[in-house]
Amino acid sequence: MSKLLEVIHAEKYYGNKGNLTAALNDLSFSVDEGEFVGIMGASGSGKTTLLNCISTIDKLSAGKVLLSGQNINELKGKQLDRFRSHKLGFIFQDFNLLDTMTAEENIALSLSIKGVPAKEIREKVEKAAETLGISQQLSKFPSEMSGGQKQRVAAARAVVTDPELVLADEPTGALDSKASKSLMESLRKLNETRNATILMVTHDSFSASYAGRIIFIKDGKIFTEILREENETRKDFFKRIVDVTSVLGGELDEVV
Amino acid sequence: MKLFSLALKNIKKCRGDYSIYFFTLIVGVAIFYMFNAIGSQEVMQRIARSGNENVQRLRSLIGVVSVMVAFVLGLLIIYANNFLIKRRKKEFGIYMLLGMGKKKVSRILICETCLVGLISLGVGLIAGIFGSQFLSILVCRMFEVDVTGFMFVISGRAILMTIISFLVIFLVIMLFNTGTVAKNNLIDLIRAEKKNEKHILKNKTLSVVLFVISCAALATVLCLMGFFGNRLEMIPFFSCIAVGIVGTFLLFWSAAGFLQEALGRAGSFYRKDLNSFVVRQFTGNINTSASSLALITLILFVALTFFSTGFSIRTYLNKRLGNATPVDVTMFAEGADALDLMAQQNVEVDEMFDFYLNLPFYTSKYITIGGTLGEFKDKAAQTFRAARWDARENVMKLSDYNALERKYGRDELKLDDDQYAIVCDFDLLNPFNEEALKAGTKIDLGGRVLSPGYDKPIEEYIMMSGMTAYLGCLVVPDAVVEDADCGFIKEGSVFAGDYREKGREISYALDEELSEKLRILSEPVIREDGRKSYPLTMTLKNEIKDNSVGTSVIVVFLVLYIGIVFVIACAAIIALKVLSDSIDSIRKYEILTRIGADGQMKRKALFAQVMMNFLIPLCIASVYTWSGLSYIKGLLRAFGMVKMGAGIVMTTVIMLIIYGGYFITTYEGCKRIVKV
Repeated sequence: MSKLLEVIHAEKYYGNKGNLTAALNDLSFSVDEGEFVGIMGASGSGKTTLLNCISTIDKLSAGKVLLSGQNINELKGKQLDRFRSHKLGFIFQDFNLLDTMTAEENIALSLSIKGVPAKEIREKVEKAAETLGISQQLSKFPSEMSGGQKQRVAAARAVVTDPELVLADEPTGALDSKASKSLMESLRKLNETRNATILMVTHDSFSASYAGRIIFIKDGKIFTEILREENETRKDFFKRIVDVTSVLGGELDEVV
Repeated sequence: MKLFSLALKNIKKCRGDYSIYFFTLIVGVAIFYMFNAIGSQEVMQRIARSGNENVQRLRSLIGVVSVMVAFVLGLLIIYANNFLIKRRKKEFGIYMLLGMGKKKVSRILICETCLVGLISLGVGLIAGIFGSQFLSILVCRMFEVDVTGFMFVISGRAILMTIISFLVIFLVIMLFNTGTVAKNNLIDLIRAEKKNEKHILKNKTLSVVLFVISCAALATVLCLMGFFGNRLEMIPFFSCIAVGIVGTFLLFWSAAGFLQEALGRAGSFYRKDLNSFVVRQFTGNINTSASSLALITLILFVALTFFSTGFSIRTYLNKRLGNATPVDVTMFAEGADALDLMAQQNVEVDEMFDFYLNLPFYTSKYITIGGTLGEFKDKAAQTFRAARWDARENVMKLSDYNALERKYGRDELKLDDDQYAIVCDFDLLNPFNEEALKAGTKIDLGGRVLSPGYDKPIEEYIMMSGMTAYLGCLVVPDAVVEDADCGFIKEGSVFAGDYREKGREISYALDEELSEKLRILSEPVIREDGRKSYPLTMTLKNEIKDNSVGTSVIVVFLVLYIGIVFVIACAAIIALKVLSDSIDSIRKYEILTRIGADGQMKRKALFAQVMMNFLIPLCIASVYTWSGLSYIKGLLRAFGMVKMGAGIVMTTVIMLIIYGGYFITTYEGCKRIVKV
């Protein structure tokens, strides 16, 4: 499989000359096409910074991010907007739906922005909604839906444009466990049926267990990486994730 | 002191967002001062030297109107303030969460209101003092008054009035503000920001039906007034107003549902770029503020009508003035010759005037006022019940009349030997005259029969008159008057003259001298036939001009004052609403950025949103104004005013400046807020 996303020696500093904080410290990894990758780490480990830099919301201080071989740090203005609308899909912790618009309109909007003809929009929206099990909710407003439904609408909006990469930032952060489970099922289904490449940031081990590979970050560096073996049950994978997170949370020699 | 500095900091912090609020306050204060001070301005004394009563009248009228204006401004400021306070509820909640008592929070608010009030009052007054000088110069231009040696005048009375009015307004605001803090619980304050989005009327059918009904009702009223405005008797005025008001509110209440339904179906439009977003934002906005939008529309309508009508009246007055005073003096002597009368009163006519005409007029037992109307006399009698139809009509020789026409710079009349013409500038009588002339009404002078030489009355004056219309006269060929069989006797004369000495100052002195000498003749006398008559009636160019300018000034000032305040109030409310909505939209535009909307798309969406908020009330109000003006035109026709063009042009210019200014400022402010 070809490499879709490459992060090469990424560095990001905050602050001024006298007081520099490294949010990302020489971080490198890559994601293949069709992969479902989770990024885990404690608060302040740099996961969100990483996601922001990949999603072009923020810029790296040094290093490169390549998407299909293209250096996204070199994009400017219109190219950048075009890149976002054509190649990326976003899912956020707090849904980020437009509350004045119905679910259907929210999903359709990203197609409109991309310039998809009106005739094709309806069909595409319905297909995405069906995959995510929200066909019944399409005419509702965000305020009339549950958190889980809203997040699935957001997911539908993210994938309806067939982006090369779906970025999910704590997608289950605002959901209860039942809604989390069904959302993660939906994401896995997206990954499998639509062959969507998903990069998900989370600190919830349960949500992470749906991914195929987990990258652990600590203090802006890669701490370790675990891959879900073939035939490994999700339960077993989950246990391994929990093991790593317990180590990640604080190594023994740090406890005085 | 800590309180004070916190309040000061808050104001500084808000300066950017609330600049429109500040600006409106300052403009409000300045305008209030400017118009209250105008009576004291030197320019007014210059414009209307003999018409000092006009300045007095203007002053007292502006005083009355100011109460109304203060009320409108007060409502505007209270509305704007409540709006801003609502946005800051969370801030107050946090103060209280940190342990500050309600009383202390209230005190901070009072402190803030005082500061805002004092700053805007101070700046507004300074702006107003300079503005009133500017206004004076503008007025001089408008009425062609000499501006040399102009004094800088500050009106203490106006300052006092402004301060009192605005202190009352700020006091009311203080009560409102402290009330907001006092009556709300902490939880309400903290969670105030999480307002529920109201959704469009669920019942789509109902809103579509209501929309169609209100449109139909409004269209009926508008067409009725617009197309049949000149037939006043056909229009049930108060029902029309009632339907208009109710219809406007209904229109806005149902518009959101209707527009969403209509535009949502237009797939290729709705699904293009951010159109669906813009439509949703807009319909949502109409939905939450339908009532205030309707009110704004109605106020704008009043302001636009005021502007257009006022400026039209001014243009009419100025135009009428332009050709209403071709000579310095005109006189009308009844029962004697004007020259003889003046000689009796020791007026040295040849010394005083370097040019004059003294034209005799005649009466005949065969020609009465009623007689010239022929069979239409009875119809006219229904309108003019008190008229004396059997009174003799004044008659002038054609050659005499044409001499007057030449002096006045008008076209001469041409009549055949057996023809006559009617000269009359009384607009209410002229329709009857015209009917009689069209019907070819003949006048029998004891055997000699005259028929109309023109099929319309000649709408000219013989005496200069400004606004009031004198009854006219009949013009017949010279030979007819000289024919002894027709029974003409000399009744009196018309005098028109120019002073030998020219110049504004000297002419006033001469006016004075002439009036003094002829005063005794202006008293009415009872004639042998029991009729009351005035031996000599005199009209003076200066008097007419001053009176007309005085009226014109009053009209223009009242119109500018009320109109501008109304328009500013509307524009400011829309601007504040749009700005505060844009603060709510920050998040939405962030989302749009994330899903790939480019800068241009977002700017377009924002522009459309701001524009619709400003334009829709204005458009609807403009349509209303069109039909309203047509009705007013009908009302004013009695005074001979029919052209509204000048007023509409002037209104458009003013609207472009004020309304357009607010629009651009608001758009720029929104762009800054949502960072597109």
